[in-house]
Amino acid sequence: MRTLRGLTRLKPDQMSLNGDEVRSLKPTQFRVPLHRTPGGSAEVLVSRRQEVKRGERLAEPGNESEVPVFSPVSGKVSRVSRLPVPGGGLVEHAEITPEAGEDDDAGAGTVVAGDDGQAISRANDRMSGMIGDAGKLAERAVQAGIDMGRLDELPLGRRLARAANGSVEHVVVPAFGAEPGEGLADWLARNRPEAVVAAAGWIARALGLEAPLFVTDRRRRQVRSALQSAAERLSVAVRFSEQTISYPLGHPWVLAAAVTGKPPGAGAPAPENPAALVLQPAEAVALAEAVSGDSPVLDRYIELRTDSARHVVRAPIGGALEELLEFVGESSESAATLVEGGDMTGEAVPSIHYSVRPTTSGYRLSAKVPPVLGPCVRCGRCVDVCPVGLLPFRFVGVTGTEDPAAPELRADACIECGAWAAVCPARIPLVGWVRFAKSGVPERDLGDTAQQTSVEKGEAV
Amino acid sequence: MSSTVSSEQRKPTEAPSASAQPGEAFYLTPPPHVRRGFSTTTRQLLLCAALIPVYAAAVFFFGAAPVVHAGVAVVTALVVEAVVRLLRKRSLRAPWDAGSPLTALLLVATLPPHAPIWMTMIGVLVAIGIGREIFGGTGHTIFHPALVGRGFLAASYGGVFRAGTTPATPFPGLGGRGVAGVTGATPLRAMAEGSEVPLENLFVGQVQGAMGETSVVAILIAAAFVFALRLVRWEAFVAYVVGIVVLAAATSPFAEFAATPFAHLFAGGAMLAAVFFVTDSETTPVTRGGRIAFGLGAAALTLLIRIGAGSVEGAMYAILLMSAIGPLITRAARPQPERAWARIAQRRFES
Ligand code: SF4
Ligand code: SF4
Repeated sequence: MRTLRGLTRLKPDQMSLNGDEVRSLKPTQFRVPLHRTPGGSAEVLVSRRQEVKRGERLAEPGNESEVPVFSPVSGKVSRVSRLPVPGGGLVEHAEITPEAGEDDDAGAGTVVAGDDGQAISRANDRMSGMIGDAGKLAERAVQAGIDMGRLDELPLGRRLARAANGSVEHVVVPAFGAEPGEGLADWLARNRPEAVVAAAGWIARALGLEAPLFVTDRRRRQVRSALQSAAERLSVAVRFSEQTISYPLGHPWVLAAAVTGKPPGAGAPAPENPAALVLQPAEAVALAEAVSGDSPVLDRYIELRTDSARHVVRAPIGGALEELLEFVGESSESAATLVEGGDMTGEAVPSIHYSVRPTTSGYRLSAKVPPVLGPCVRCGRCVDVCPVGLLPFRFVGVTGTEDPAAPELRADACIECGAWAAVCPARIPLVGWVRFAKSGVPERDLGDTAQQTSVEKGEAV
Repeated sequence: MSSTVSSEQRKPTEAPSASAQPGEAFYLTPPPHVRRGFSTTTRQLLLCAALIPVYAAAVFFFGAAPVVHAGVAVVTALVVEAVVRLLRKRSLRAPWDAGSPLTALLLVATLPPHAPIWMTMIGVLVAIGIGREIFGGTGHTIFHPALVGRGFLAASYGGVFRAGTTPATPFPGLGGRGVAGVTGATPLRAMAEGSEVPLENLFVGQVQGAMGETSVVAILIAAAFVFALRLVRWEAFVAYVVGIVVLAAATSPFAEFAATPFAHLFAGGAMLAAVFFVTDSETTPVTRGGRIAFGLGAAALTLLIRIGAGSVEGAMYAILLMSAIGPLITRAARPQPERAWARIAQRRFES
């Protein structure tokens, strides 16, 4: 398999996130997204000026790929409006002003105690009776509003519901930063190992499997030992697979194929792999907390990185980004880019006036100005690194599925890992192009860029 | 969306806009947000740097001529590029990627040391003006611009290339070691005429020939640099070198050409071509298989021209010819997602 060697691993010293760093943010403004993506839908339950209580439902899922949304705070809905989200498009948000004088315990962003070993362990004992009942566990995950995974995959509960009807052979937990520079998964596995192990164990047992499989990085032994001792404490059976991780191994489809030995099944946009359920540590923690605390998801762990520092923050869903930055003592003053998610697949956030989504794994603030693009020099590096054997350079200038060049390029097979664009000497934002190639965007909507690049393509290929 | 409340529409924030406060708005760039490896400009500059050993050997053997030619060529190239930019109404400040000086340096490397300066200038004019800019500059060339320039010069002033003996150095007093003691012919001609050229002479560059082509050892140093930094990919290089050696060995019983396979490889422009022209990213196919095919094809054509046409150096023409079909080779490549997935699945993590 072709992977980006050297790109995935952080230097060990960059990884010294320690447990003390978790802090809880209590914002004064909330903008809570009511559905996942611009194409999603929700049945909005609240309206302007309405009082809401912490944990109250704000929206019901509008379709089978959504989950309910809860208010992270008690307060008043100041308005319901469509706001832009990173990656583009508008999503319905409820803007909530917290009640004045709300006491700390009921405040936003508090969690089941930081040291929740006891609660998890009690929940683990309770859950040991749930063998074989994946449907019930799936429903629980949906009703808790768990949506901490990747945006291009369904929320945990929905995936679990599908798995309950299928024939899953493995529950796989990638306990490593799936993207270069990203350390949240690794951090959670080391600092919340009980939660991760317990939830993975519940899911495996509910699906009738003996033990979940933790994939760890050979160069990060601490992760494995933290998980192992947590498993011993909770008496949960676990399996490990130690690998030398390189990008994009953390991608769920790649991981599933590598574990099951089966390529993903057909099906656009997500080539699902019915033989494996990939559980992200953040999802596991959310599930463990939802079960042990018997409460819906109101906040999540977020990793905030700058060019020189990193912080792990417990942030409420909907918390304002500007307050998050202020909270950790970082300023965006000299930042040129702000990215939500990992370095390879994350989305640029164009403005500070955005807020935490359930799927937000973190933010990265960087002072580096994005590179200037040049024309494709046909160096073939993108072809070399594409893990799924495509010819990425040919996507440049392809403007939609209607484009005559599109069918033979197999854009449908692209996993949008970004590996190609990371190595392109011309710094062409190829992921943008493959998205066009997958979409039906007509050429005229792309304006000058498309025309210019089509001309280039005509000459180049 | 089944929202029952009136939604206020807000425009997505555009960034970074002039009106935004510092720290409020950021560049809107598509993923990924990390880049790895050299940019095009850095790569071209490093390729220029890779020519240093080649030029050092040229100075050692031919004196100051190579440096003077190179200097004139680079200046000419920059001037031509600037003029073309102005003619095309593009800003002189638009991003520049060092492609034209690289072209100029490569062109000079393929010229004989006794070439008059005006010839270098004409060559650069053709290489940059026609070979590069008419096609649209970096990223759009089909034929390697330096080879276009050299091809033009060889066609127009063939005598200079065929000249067997080194005329008086154009810059007396600055001469290098010279190539005294060598028969007054280029190795290829000598070999075509039936005389043996010692392999060690070819290796160090103690022969007649173009400024950058004679010293194999210098070219190998350049190659080590180029491949260690992965400035270009190796497939076509290997295919070309192996192709020349194997095909020369296979054809030697039949050809009236007194050359051993390695003499074929080390004589003329084959080694320079193998490192700098066959591996060029733009004018060769993009896929790995395509590059191997390109290298082998160029090797076969090189020998065909050499043997068929007597003493003519075939490497440069061979590459120009192969470049013409390069895009077709690229076109023939097909995405192979199924095969790639099968490869991933073979990893078998769980065991
Ligand atoms: S798209 Fe970029 S990486 Fe791919 S061939 Fe073109 S320049 Fe090279
Ligand atoms: S084409 Fe898709 S799968 Fe291949 S490298 Fe690019 S983003 Fe990754």
